[in-house]
Amino acid sequence: MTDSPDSLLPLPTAVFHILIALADRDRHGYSIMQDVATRTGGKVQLSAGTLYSSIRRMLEQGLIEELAESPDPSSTDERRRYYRLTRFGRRVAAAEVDRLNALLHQARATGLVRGA
Amino acid sequence: MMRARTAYNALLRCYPAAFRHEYGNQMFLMFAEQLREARRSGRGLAPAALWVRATTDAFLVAPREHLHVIFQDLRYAFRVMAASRTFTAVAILSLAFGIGANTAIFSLWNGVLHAPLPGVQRPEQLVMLSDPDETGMWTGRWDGRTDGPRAWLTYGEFQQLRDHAGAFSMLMASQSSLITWQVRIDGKAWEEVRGRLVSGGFFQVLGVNAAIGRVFTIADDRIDAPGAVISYTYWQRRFGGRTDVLGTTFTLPKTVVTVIGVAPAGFIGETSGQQPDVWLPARMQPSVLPGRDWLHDTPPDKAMWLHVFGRLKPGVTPAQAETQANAVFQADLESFYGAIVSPERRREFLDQHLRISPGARGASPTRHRFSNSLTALLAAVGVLLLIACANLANLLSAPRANPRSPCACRLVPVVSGSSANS
Repeated sequence: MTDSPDSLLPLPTAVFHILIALADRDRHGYSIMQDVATRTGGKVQLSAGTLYSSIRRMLEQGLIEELAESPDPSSTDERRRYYRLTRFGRRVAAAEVDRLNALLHQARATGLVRGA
Repeated sequence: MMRARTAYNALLRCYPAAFRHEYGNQMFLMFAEQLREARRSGRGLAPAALWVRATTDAFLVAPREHLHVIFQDLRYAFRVMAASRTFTAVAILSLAFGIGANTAIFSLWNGVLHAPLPGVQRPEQLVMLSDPDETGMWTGRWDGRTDGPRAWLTYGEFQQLRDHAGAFSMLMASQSSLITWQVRIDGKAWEEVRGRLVSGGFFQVLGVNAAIGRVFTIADDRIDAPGAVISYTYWQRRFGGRTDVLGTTFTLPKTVVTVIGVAPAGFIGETSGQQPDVWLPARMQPSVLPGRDWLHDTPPDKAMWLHVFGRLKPGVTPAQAETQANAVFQADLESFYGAIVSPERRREFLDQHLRISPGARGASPTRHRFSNSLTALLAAVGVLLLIACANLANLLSAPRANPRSPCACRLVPVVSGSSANS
């Protein structure tokens, strides 16, 4: 586990998408994949290998944690494993957003892109 | 879906076992959902596209996961080593000593007993008509009943075989001993060079071309041209690799020879473990080794001083070549002794024969002598390495009893991870 969020930046695209998917609720792997696909209009399709390789790394880095029980009482599939964003994971996601914001500001300041 | 499960399990085999045990089921659950969706979508190629993606994914992600496992193991190893430095030092030194000794002795054992001649083309095709284990020379009469097959041949016998033994595509002869000469190079101070006398076909039989200049050819056996071919090592050491070495004169006590070529790098000649500086034509023997003419024998004495190598013609077996070589050899013996030996002693004088043996490893005066001791030494250092490994295993197994040791800690997640998913 790493203490400084900045030491993990920049985040790989898949990791950042997973952090965003877990920001509002705990999810299992397939749900994460669906959320990412929906948010990106199908442009980002996480495959199983990429997803679980990222999850393995994020667990080791303390960005997410695995839940002992399903948070959804209506879920009938006990085989699914659910993941939750940790406080550290939230700080890292925020740091990545700041980094991307700063980049965006720089791009706008130089006239590379237009925007408010 | 059963077939899909089997096929997906095959893809999962690309991933490290630990990763597969931890996430394999979850990955298949996710893939099965995607596959159902693809089939429901009605697009005929959607399931196939999903399989392609899963396969590509496995080939891209699995190597990264394997690397991760390797780095994890390395980190763990370094952590353990750093935690117990004395143990690490003992382990490394034991293994380094054991492996180092084994490597050194194996190299020596292989080089002396088994390695083919370096720098020689297709050495496995070479055969020897003399005894590879013998060095030196013999003057007088060879008694085949007590001395066995001929250890060396005379220059005249070599010439007879070269010219009349049709089973061989080429034959060459080389002095069995390495000689040290006193020479003056370009008229400067006397210095020592080591070399041997060889016949003109020496380099051709061994399949060797010159690095610069030229090497002897069979034609050199018929002319009196005092040339010398020097070894690549000697060229580098004595002449600094200068190309103007060609034409350099070597003054010997009774003659002067001129360097005509340099042998290629790595080539040491026909005798394993010996590196001559120079090769001179065998025809020059009376002038470079004065005292007795070894090229022409006077009955009843013969000067036997040459190893003879050759290559068999295609389709000729060593047994056929040996039979033919002995026929030529016997005819030469009869011609040599015929006039001076009484019919009663004729059989005794002619009771000599040649034996053909593989020539890939070349001649070696030390191979036979050190064969048993080197093999025993190799076995001894092998046992030494086994003892070092056993000691290390004992040292490693001892701390496992301690639950706070790094070894014990390492076992916990692996066992629990596997059992949780089984």
